[in-house]
Amino acid sequence: MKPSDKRMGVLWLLLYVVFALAPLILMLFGERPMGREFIRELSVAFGFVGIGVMALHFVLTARITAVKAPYGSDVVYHFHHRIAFLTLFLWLAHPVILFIQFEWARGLLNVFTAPWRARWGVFSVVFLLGLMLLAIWRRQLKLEYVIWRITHGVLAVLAMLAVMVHAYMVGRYIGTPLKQALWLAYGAISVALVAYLRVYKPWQMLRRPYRVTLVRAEHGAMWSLALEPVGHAGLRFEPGQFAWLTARKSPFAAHEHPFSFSSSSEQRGSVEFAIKELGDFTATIQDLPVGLQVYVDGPYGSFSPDRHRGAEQRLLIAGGAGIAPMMSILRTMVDRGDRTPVTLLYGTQDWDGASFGDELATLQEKLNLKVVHVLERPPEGWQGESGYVTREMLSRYLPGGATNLHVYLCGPTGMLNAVEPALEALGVPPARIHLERFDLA
Amino acid sequence: MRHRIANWLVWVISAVVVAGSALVALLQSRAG
Repeated sequence: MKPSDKRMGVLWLLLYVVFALAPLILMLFGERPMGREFIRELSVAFGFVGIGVMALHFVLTARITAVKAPYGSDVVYHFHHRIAFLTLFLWLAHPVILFIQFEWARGLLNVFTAPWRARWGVFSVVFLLGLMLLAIWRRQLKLEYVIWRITHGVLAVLAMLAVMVHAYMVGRYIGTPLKQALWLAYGAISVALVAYLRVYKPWQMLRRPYRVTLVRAEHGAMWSLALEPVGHAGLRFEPGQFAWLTARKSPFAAHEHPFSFSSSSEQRGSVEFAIKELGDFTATIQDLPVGLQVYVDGPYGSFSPDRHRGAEQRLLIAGGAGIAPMMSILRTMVDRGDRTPVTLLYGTQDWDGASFGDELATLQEKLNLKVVHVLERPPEGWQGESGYVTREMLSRYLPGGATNLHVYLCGPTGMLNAVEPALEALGVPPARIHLERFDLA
Repeated sequence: MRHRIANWLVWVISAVVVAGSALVALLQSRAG
C-alpha cells in the first residue's frame, strides 16, 4: 500500500466516526428538552446516531474511488454489510426501548391511528427491515441480481427520507438553525450520492461508450470479451482491477455487473474481460453480438501488484473465475518485460474446467513463471496436484528464506477462507497477502 | 487481513456508538 493510501485510509476512518457521531454530539447543544429519563434519552440517542450511520452507507456504496482506494472495494462492501447490522440495531432499539418503557408509545405502532410523525418512523423501520431481509436472503428468495440491486437502492432512499421526515416532525433536538442545517446536509448528501451513482456516472458512461470487438470461447465455460472505445481514448487500469459492465441496456438502467480485466494494462485503448458462466447475466455473454455498444464504469479495486512495487517474488492463487485478474497480471508482466519470479496455483474442478491452459503454457516461456494446476477431480494418471489448495501444498511452492514475497488470492469465498490462514500459518506476513472477493453484492 | 481489520473496526465503531449514546443520554438526562 502506498503511504498516501495509508494516510487517506486513516483520514476517511476518522471522518466516518466524526460524521456518525455528529448528530449525537449536537444533541447536547442548543435548544433541547430537559429533565427526561435516561432510558428515553438513550432511545433518542440511538435514533440520532442511527441516522448518522445510515447516511454513511450512501458514501460507502457510491463508488467514490478516493474512498475505496486505501482499502479495496471488496473490503468497503464487506464493511458496508457488517455495519448494516449496527444500523438495524440502532433503528430498532430506538422504538423498542420506548415500547418497553412507556405504555403511551405502544399505540404509535398502529399506523392507522398514530400521528404522522410516528407513522414516518414506522415506515422508515419497515423499509430498512425489508432492505436487510432481501439483502440477507436474496439467494434463498431466488431474487434476480439486477432486480435486487434496484430494490435495495430504492428501499435505502425511502428509509432515509422517511426517517428524516420523522425526525423533523418530532422536532425535538433540531430546533436551532445549525442543527437543521446539519440534518438537511445529511439528507441532501445521501440523495446527492445516489444521484451521482445513478445519474451522473451513467451520463458520463453514455458519453464514453465501448463496442464489442470479440467474443471468444475459452476452456472451462469462460468467455473472453474484448471491447474498444468509441470516440474516446479508453481507460487506464492496473492489472488485477475490475470494472462494472453494462450490456444491452442503457447505463441508467442499473443492469451492470462487476468483472475483472483480463487484458494487459499496457495495452492502449481496447480492454478485455474474462467472464465465467456463473449466473443469469454471465450465461448470456456468448450471445453478445460483435459491434454491440456497451458501457464500462471503472477501474475499481486495489487488488494489483502495481500497489506493491519492489516485490521479489509473487505467488498467484486462483480458483475458478479468479483466473481473470491473474491473466491480466501475467499478460501485463509480459508487456513490461517483468522477470520477477512468479508461481500460479490454479484450482479448478477438473482439467476441462481450466481456462487459458495453452496460453499459460506459452507464458511460462516468456516469464519467470511456474504454473501449477490443482484439480479437484483429476483424470486417471494425473501426475500434478489434486484436491484443494492446502497448507501442505502451499508449503511446497512458498520460497524458502526471507524474500519479499507478495501473494495474490482470488477465488470462491470458501477457498479464500481456507487459504489465507494457511498462508499466515506458513509465515507469510498478513500485509503481503492480498485478496479479491467476487461477491460485492 | 483487510477483512479481519474491517470486522474489528465494525466492533470498535459499534462499541463507540453505543457507549457514546449512553454517555450523551446520561448527560442529557442530568441536564436542566
